[in-house]
Amino acid sequence: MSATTSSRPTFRNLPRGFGLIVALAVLVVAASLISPHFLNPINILNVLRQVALYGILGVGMTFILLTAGIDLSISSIVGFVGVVAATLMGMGYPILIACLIAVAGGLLIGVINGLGIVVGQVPPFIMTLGSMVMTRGIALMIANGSTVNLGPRGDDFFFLGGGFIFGVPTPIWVFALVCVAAFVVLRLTPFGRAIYAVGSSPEAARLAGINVSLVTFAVYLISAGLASLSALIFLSRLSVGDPNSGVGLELEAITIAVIGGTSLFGGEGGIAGTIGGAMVLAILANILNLAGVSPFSQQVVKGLIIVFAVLLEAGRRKRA
Amino acid sequence: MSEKNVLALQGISKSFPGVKALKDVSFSLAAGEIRALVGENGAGKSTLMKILSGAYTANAGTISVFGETIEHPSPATMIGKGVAVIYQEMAQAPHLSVAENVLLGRLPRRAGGLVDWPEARRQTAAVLARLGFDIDPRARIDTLSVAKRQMVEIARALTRNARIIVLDEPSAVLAASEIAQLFAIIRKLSAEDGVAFVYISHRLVEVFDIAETVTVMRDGEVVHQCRTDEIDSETLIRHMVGREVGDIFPKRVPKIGAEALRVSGLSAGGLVQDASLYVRRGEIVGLFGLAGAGRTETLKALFGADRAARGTLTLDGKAIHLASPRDGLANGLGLVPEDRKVAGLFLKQSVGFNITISSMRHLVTGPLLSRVKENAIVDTIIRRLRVKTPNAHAAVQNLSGGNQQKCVIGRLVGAECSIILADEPTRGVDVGAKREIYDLLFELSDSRQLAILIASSELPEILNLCDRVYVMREGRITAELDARRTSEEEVMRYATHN
Repeated sequence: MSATTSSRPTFRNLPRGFGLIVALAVLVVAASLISPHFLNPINILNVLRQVALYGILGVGMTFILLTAGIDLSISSIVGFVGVVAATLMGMGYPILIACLIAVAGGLLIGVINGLGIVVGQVPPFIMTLGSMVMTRGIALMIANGSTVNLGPRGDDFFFLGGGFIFGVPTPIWVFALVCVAAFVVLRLTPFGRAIYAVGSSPEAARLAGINVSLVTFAVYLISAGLASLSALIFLSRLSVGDPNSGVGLELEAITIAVIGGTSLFGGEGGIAGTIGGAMVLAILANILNLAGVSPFSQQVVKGLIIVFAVLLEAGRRKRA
Repeated sequence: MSEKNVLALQGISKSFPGVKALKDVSFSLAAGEIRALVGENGAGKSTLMKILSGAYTANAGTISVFGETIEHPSPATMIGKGVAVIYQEMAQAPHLSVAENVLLGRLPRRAGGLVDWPEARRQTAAVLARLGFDIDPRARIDTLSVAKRQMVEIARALTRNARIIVLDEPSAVLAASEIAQLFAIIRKLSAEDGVAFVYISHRLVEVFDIAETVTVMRDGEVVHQCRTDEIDSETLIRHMVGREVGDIFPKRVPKIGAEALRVSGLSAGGLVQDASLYVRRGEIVGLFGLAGAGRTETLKALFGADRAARGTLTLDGKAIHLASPRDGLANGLGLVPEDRKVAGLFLKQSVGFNITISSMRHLVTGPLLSRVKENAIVDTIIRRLRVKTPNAHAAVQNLSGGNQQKCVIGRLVGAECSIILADEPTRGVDVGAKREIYDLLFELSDSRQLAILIASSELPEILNLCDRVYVMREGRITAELDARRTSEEEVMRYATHN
């Protein structure tokens, strides 16, 4: 009958974060052995920039997966928002206005996803599959199938994706801010608790007085918002609006979250794991690049990693 | 180990990280024997059953079936040896038909490998008829009542030539007439076919009714074994809890106050029609009915969880409309749902999470949750409700049923509910924990002047716990009785057709 609140780690929660840290350590050691270039500061910053670019999408996907949902449309939002922003800048709109309008467009996709899932009761997979295809189509229509030039605004805008603050690339700062905000929301706000509750059991959440529809709607909006943000960073780095940019990123985001220990079945996981997951993937890609492995073989390796991560997770569940 | 034993367990031990779940457990079963296995939740009954089914492997000890020691028990070998374990949470394919479930994995084939459906239905109908069940082999499992699903499980065990059938609290979900039917089948199979049964139950009345022998477990050990005609229920309870419980039901004198809740002309869930009832402060009111009488539907509607519900609701004299459970909670209503594991708890989350999820607005400082406030509330509730947990961060799924239920009730206390609607609050909870939950409800009713409405299908619970009783039958309230003046027979008469 002890009512103490000691946060002694138990058998159940130790291996989860532990495995990820071990994996990261092994990767770092392996990378520095394979190539002397790995520990070069410039390479490290490159890796971290990769972490930031994909990690932002991983954070959005973490919110979604925690509610036991899925959002496939983020890859198309990256293309769509990029093309809209590029087009507006090319027409001479100020950078801020162009970005705001483009992000509003991205959020609109999130609203459509949310309404379809909450009001229309369409399964998240189907709903976001539909909006993924639709949004990509709109991006291609706007760009008329080709790329869109940023015009003279592009030079100033390059700062977001390619600039530095105190010697650290801007996207890393953006990612850090996103992570802190996401961590606070998930761990320290009633809304964050509600997300875990909805993912654990929607019926219990409803009976516990949680507005399940609102929470579900909100996570699709968050996901679309973060996808829009990363769209702008991609656009800034590429300096050209490509309606085909972002293809396949939804799988990258899911991989990051799942490697980070977020359950596809909802209610389990968090931001710290997602950061770790993004690092594992980025370092792995870096090792393979440094070792001169072809991009085709890299895909095979990445696929194996996903399966391996999920197998480990399944093993952990069985033991628990 | 005598020759006639169909099943013998010798010195079974099983440990989980940090817990010794079973210590040197031995017992045996003769052909045709019906043995009750009793013990509080957490006594090790479920672990023992999982070892018997092959789901867990024991750390030490041997299992022999028909004198043959099973070297590497797995679910497949145990089924092959004729051991069938029927869990409380049944493992069925809800979207498939009765025939498919009964013959799962062994559907009869035609030449060419296609399923022979007429033959499957014939075989299923035959085994159901042998058991005396009236179930359509073509019906989908999820259209059946829980009672009928249980019958399907027994039919499945029989088609697999089970010689030893373990029933894990089968009666928890059955109405009285269905229990009688189940017992008739158990007796028939035991007498005519020599099938041996292990019957796990919390209801001692049933243990004395059906079982010839009884094994009592406590804290992972067998503490007593005897014939049921050599022991009385007081002694049995003492063995189970290891202490004197006295009367399971505490006594109290209610301090009844003003009317807290009144509903009139309630219709809900496509079942409840024109139901009217009221509950006063400090009063505990029972809502009795057999399975399908509309108890759960009534409670859900009162809580605001049934949008299609119609009727007039007054809370503390004010007419009010509840559009959602959120509305219900905001107006001081709290529901303890019938299905604790799906609708009551967030099993993946911690004890603290489960306790505070409905009262987060009390826990914030600015926009953020305050750890200090949260720990204070959680610790208070854990202590006041005597929740047995290592700490507030422990996963709620590792708690026993009684302690899980205390977390659900604790959530309502934390949310400052003044009217509690409890749907089968002691289902699947052991004797000792039942008493604790009764004490808790009494204490809440007395000290906080809560109004409590308890839906239950357990007559002793209704009659001993409540001040007033409503009886439901087929969606209608058929009687309002004074719990102290009525009898089991009278309540049953209103609950059934005659």
